[in-house]
Amino acid sequence: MHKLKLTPEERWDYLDKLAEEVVTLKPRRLSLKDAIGDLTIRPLTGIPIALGILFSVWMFFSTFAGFFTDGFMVPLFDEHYLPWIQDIFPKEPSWLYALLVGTPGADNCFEAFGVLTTGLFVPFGVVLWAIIPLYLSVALLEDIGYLPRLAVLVDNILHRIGLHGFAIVPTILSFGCNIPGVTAARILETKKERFMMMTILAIFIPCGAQLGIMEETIAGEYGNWLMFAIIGYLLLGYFVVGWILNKILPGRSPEILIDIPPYQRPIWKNLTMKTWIRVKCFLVHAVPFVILGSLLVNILYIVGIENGNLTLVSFEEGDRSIMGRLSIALEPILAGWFGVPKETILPLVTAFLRKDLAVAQLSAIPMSMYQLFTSVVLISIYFPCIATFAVLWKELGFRGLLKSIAILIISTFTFGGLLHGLWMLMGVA
Amino acid sequence: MDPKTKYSLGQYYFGILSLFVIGSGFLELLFFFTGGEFSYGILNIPPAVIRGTVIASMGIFMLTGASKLKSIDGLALVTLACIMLWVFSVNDLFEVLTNSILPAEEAEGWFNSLNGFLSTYSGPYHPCVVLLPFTLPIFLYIRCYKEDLRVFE
Repeated sequence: MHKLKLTPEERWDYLDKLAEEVVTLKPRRLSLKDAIGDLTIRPLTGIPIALGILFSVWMFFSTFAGFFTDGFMVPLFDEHYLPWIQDIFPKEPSWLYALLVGTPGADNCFEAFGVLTTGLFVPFGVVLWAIIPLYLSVALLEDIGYLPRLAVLVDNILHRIGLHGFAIVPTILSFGCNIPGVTAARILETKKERFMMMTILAIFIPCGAQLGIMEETIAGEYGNWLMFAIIGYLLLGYFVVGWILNKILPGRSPEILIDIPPYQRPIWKNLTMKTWIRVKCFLVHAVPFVILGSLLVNILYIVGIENGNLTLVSFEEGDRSIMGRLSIALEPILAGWFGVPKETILPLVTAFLRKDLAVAQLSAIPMSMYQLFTSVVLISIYFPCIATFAVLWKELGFRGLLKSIAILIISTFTFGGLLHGLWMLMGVA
Repeated sequence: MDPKTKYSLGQYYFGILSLFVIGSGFLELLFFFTGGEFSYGILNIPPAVIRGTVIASMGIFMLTGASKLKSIDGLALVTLACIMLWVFSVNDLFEVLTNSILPAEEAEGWFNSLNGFLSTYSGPYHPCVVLLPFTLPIFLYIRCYKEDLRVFE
């Protein structure tokens, strides 16, 4: 077979000639879909639309998750499953009971802290019902062709912190639940982008459950503006830490180059299949880590250190456990550096399991509005919830997780301390 | 109906509708800052900042689009505003549906009673749901815009 030896320029010339011969160009008439497509990319019209779409996703998520979690899962786990599992285990509390069932006499799966109680309730009673609407929404936005447009719309902003437009997807997902957000960060191209994204998501983006409780407790007492001020401060942290990480981390952040498809009708079968594949991925890969995480936390609650030796401690002697000692050790930092009441330690420990519950616990502690501001920020950023922590471990590996935790600790001290400093300057601390 | 009359009527219709949309959006924003709420019959305007901003923006899009409805850009603006109102309405109706299925907070059992189920649908509803039927005429314009708009070229 004869081969043409052409330079790249000659090839392009040849292709141009060929195209001229076979392609007839006619003046293009803009269709309604094209015109709507243009409007969703232009900042003036695109930004309010994006705000509306993202808000709708959040509304759908909160309604769906609230319906299944509060309506069915909480009564199922608390009124039927928990009493049953407490009954079938030997009455006398033992280390096995403490590990698997948790606190003796607990009346809800939030606070039982057992592997078979809280360990199952968190992934199957809470997170599963949060990720289904989020995955479904993202699949719908992908299929109709909105997601690439949204990525183009926010590309400029996110490029300033070394991420590209598609980073908006994990960010949106994280406002619902951090777990799908962290796993969705896989779509980013480079290791640097993925690490940055996962870290700033886990630190600064509050999940939907937390936002819901914040609305009820904080906004209910002080007004919506305080809640928005807290979210604003967290978003400031998201951009500042993202910008710093982009400057100091090695690696590259490539430009976005995407094909924008025309708007099209979604196909229900595709939507359900995409959602199912992602949910299955969560069930197979993330759930075991969540259960393992519950086990580890539980061990910290029932194991104490006496004279350099590990010993089992009962729940009544919680102060002697590793977690209890940690709480006592952290008290001076909380009061001195962050300026929050020492009682905040309990919500901070709870936040490791459920951030929304921790925010609710804060409302029971007497403190000023400024201390409440700092406490909520601390709960949001000091550590991801156990489920997110487990998924971060899986996605980043052990070394990556340690690096992420180091950034998290620095961010917590900086952003928490800055707030305390600000309140001191204002004379309200 | 000939396209010229149809589109002139459309300009007035969506122009007036947009004023209601802008009004409800601004009221939501106003209530957010002042702390009030408005309820009359089946209509309820709650305080909401993001939602209020988006609805007011959609009203402005609709008004701008209505003024140049005879062009594809104007029609696209009105259509986009209507789509956003539908998205909000569907979300609101989904919330009503889920509330109607679950029992009242203190009630026993997994599901609502028939009376409780039916009473949830008596309202009040968000302005988007109330305005939803009034946005449906946009279909008259979307259905044959290709032929209609040629008249104005």
